[in-house]
Amino acid sequence: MSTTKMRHFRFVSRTVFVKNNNIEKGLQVVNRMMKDGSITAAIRKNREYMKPCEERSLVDRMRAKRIYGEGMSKKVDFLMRKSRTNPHPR
Amino acid sequence: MWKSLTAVTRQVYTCVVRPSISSVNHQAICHMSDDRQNTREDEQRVPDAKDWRLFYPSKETMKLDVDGTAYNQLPVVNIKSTNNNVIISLCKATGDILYCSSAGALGFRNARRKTNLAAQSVGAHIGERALNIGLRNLRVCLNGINSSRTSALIGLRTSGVRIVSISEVTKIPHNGCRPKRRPRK
Repeated sequence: MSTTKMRHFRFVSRTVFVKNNNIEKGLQVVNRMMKDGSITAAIRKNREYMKPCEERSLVDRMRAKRIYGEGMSKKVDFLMRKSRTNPHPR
Repeated sequence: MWKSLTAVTRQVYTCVVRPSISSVNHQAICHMSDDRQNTREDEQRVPDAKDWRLFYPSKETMKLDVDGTAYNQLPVVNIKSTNNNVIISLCKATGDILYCSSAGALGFRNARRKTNLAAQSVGAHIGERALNIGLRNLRVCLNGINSSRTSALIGLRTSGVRIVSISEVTKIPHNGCRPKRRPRK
């Protein structure tokens, strides 16, 4: 089996060498790789069929959530530039 | 440099280097794709301590020596974890199955097959068999996303076997067959 241009080769892509039998660390790296490559999302999406209307509404909801999140994080960063007393002491 | 590398490829390949592997070729860095040319800077760069925590796998890592055998020739343990069961098979590097086992085969029935205990016992069982045959260093291929796959790995580790690498082999269709409908409540 030639090893040139092996993007999907079995032990080259999505693999992690494990150090001192530290499985937890190895699995962490693998899971992070899958998350960054949006592979877990693809697997979950493909588990069940999603009707096209549902898919479209989900995309719109995600977009709205992302926009809200960006605005909120900007607001929080702005407010954190000044130190204030805790409004909820408990 | 790392940012440009990740920009070149969509998938990220990372490895954690094991220091006790004999004859690790420390000069073999970053031959991830043939598109990228190896510049003189890469060869002259002195490796840092940080670099040995992660490096991208390449053709050179296939021939890494692990206790006498090349990484290419190590036996493989395929762990398939589904919603209802865990199936583990021990294979040679070529793919010939040496031993196969599952939670159902060990006596767990119906709902007990999908528990973490069942997965751990299957992993331990396979590890014992591997040691009986004389196989100490194994590569693991994980199939399916489930909580039982971590337990299966822990079971393998407790049996005394050394796990060299973990790879993810879950099948992802590029929009192939239509999956089943969502189950009605």
